[in-house]
Amino acid sequence: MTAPAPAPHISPQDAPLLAVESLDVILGRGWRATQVLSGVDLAIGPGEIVGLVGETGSGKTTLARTVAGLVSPAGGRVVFEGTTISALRRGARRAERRRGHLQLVFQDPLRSLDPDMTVAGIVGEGVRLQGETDGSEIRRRVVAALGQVGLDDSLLPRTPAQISGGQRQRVAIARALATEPRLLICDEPVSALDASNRNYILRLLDQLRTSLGLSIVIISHDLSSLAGIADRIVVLYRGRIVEDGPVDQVFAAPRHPYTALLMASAPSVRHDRELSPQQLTRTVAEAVALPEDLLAGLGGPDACVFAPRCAFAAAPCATQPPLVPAGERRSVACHRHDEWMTLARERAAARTSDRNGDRSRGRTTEGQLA
Amino acid sequence: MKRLIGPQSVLRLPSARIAIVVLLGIAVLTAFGSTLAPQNPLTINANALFQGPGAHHLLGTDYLGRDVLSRLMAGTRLSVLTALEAVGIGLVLGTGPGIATVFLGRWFDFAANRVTDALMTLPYIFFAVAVTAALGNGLVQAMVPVGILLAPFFFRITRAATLEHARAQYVEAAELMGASKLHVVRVHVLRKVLPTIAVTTASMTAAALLAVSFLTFLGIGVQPPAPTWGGVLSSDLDYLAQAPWAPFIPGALIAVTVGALNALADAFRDRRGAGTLAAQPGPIIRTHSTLEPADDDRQSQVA
Amino acid sequence: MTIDNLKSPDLAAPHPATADRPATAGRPATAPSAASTTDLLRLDDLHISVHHGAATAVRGISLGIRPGEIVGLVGESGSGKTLTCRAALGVLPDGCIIDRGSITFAGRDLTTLSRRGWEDVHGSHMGAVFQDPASYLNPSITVGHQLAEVLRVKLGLSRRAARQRSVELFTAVGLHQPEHVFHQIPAELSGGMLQRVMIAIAISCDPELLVADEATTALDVTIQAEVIELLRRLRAERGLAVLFVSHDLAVVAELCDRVVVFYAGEVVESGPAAEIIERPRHPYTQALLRVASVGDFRRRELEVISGQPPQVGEDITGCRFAARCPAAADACRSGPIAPVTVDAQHEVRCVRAQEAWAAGELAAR
Repeated sequence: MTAPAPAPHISPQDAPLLAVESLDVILGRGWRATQVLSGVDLAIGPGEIVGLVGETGSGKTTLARTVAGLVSPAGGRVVFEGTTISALRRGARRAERRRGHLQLVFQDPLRSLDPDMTVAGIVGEGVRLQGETDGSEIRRRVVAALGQVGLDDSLLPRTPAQISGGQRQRVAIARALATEPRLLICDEPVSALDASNRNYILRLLDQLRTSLGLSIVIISHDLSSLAGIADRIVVLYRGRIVEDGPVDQVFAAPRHPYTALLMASAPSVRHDRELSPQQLTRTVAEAVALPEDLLAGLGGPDACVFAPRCAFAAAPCATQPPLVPAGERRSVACHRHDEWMTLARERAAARTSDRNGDRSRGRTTEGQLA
Repeated sequence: MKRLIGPQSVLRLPSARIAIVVLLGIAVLTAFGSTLAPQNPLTINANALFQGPGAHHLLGTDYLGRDVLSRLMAGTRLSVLTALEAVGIGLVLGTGPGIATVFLGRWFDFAANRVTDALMTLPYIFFAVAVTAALGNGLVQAMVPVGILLAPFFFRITRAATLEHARAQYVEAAELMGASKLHVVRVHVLRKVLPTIAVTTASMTAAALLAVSFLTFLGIGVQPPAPTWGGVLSSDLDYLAQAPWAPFIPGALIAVTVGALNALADAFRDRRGAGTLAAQPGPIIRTHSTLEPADDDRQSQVA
Repeated sequence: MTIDNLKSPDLAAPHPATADRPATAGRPATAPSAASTTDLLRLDDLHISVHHGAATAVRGISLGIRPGEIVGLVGESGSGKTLTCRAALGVLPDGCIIDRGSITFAGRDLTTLSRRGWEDVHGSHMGAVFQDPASYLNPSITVGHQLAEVLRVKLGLSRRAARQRSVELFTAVGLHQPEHVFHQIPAELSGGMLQRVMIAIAISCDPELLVADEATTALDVTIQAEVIELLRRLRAERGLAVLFVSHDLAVVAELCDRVVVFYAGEVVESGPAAEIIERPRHPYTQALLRVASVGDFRRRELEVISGQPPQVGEDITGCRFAARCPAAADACRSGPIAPVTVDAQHEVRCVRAQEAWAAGELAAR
């Protein structure tokens, strides 16, 4: 094993807590094997909240599971606190896990909490696995962890079915906190909750970062729910990171068309978006109009992952662009990251003059090429 | 930590209470059946063949004029003890590997499954004959092959139930906290598999009761005049033309016993049902979203 | 693309709603005035109890949908919005009973409808899509076959005609390569495509009303945006009325003409979408707007609504939101709160709706 290479965006003095280096993950075997992650590079600094965004099948959950060690990578490695945890096996891995410094909070607490155990048993499990046998000490740490998520000890004798959804998610977080972690990976922590509970959980995570100095990765399919909390946004598309940067900058000026599409697609109470999703994806008519060889290139195996949907794909996009720095602390994987915004504005202008009073907003498609 | 199964909560269900009363009755018969029997179960009465239930013979007589009630009462001990022996052997041989196979890797799983397949293809009469030939004819020896042949059923069912729970997310969560396989089995899997095993045990007991009778018929294990439930049933089946109602009496006895076992097993399985939840001090329980499956809604809306 | 003679002769029998239904063109975005059109679906004082009458979950809901109108029901889980739309569809879960009130669809009383009557209403006049399309489709039969079967049973089409019409419908819901999709089984399609298939089945017999219960909740945002666009287009092309149920205020605001806000089994506010978004009068609606992801990407304080909603079936004197309301006064707790009309079609169930604080609260936002 080589020494951990300096990861992008993190200056040498603050060494990353977690470094994911050119991670490849293949799920399934034989003819069913699919490459879920390709060359993912990611570094999480201490005390940082990173929002990992992507749609179904983008590999965001697989990334979390690989980092946690539930999936073995086909290539690349995961370095946590200086240890290459992806290379650990059996006893060594168990010992590393028992330190409890890296915790994964699963998406659905109803499935990740044992329905037959009480809250006391669930939250105390990690503490007990650390070798703590003193009942009162376990209880003290359980109550402390519950306190950190705003729950009191009246919940201790209840089972997951006997508490509300918001409370369940908090119990899942408390279980992770009981082992005093350094890094918390939350897989869709709020997608099953209503707006009020969602904000509560997000605010709670933000407080935990401040009070405990935790690093937190929040996985979400909903960009706007990350707006109030994340420091950095990492956008994943079909197993590749397409954009990575500070939250304010990404939201102010997305550099990848997919990020822009995600933002444009988020439902809004006000209809004041500069770009609509239709202006960022290619319609069937446009796809059909493309030259044959370009179309073949964009649909090819080496093409940019977003090319089949992208309205701005051109000849260079027949090869996958690498994730390159684009501005301070930002990186993007797009050949045309300097040009597409201008093209999008032109498209928008053309549409508006085209349409002229016609209210129907253009036909959408599943966005797939053959 | 909470006890695995709270007996008090199980007893709240009326079906469980009835089942326990029935099983207590069977237990009394097991202990004192031959003493309590109103007549000698072996006395042959050529003048009273195939009599229906009446004042003198409450449950009628069989093809030799023997009192069916007395035979069933006296036969309880042999029937129950042999059935328990067979089921016990099956349980031990089947459930242990059934749980272990899920955690010991693919090769062990493959081997265990092939052994199971082989056992299931064995013609059990020949197997029983072979084993008793090797071990000597006797009741205890005769139930060994029956037990071995029940083991595959326990194995299959336990393995399926364990597989379902071993891949649950809370098991992954425990593994991520550094739990060993033993911890996972002990804390997360065992208590979920136990009810399934209990239900299987109940139905396998029925199979064992019948197996005793068939072996009796072949002269293996219980020697003919000695009464057993299965023996009474199989001899009744031979004289169906003369007394078509007769098999219903031992049949009903077996059915009631097995039914009681099943009811008790079900009660353990359903102990988290509405009856026990409502008794908890009322927390504010709301569904957490419309995304939840319907059955969960029903559970968590009970306030 | 329009499928104009989908309706078989026997089903084309005139009923009140079809009379004033827009034939082809989309209706104007502004809702027509109440007097000019009759409601397609009308719920009046609907009460629904759950657990076999043990708890009242829906308490006196009244709402109407006009032909070609998209109405959004929004509220937290347990607010009764799903029960309400299930009642309108006649598919209440076990143990749920309509205690009181009426449901009228195109002049027919649905509460007393027979099985046969429902068979006629379902599909032909009312379609439905739900959150999890995969669970409503047979996993081992091609989606095309499943749609064609509906057409053959409901409209009596021949095998060939049903096939052709299925492909047309798949095209109409924006499925790419409909001929190819026709021969695919549900497992081969993505969630967004399955939801389009469900919509195709729901509109296959040209219903007047589509009930969409959390139909976009499980979809990715990009796909959700496409499905919303599709519903908008179907309304424009076919004059389809949509009852759209969602817990996400932003989605409802994006799509709907009119919004009905549910809280703890009651309608607390209803009115035109723009009006509700810009000038919410009920404190609960205001709170919802503050906590919802309103679609901007600015960093802002993450607010929560303090307290818990009342339990299902809990009886409260006065306003059901009073316990969580920042502006609750004695008057809120003294007796039942009647809905107040504050503006044309804008109704609020709040005694302080007219007061200045509502406007002031808004200005502070």
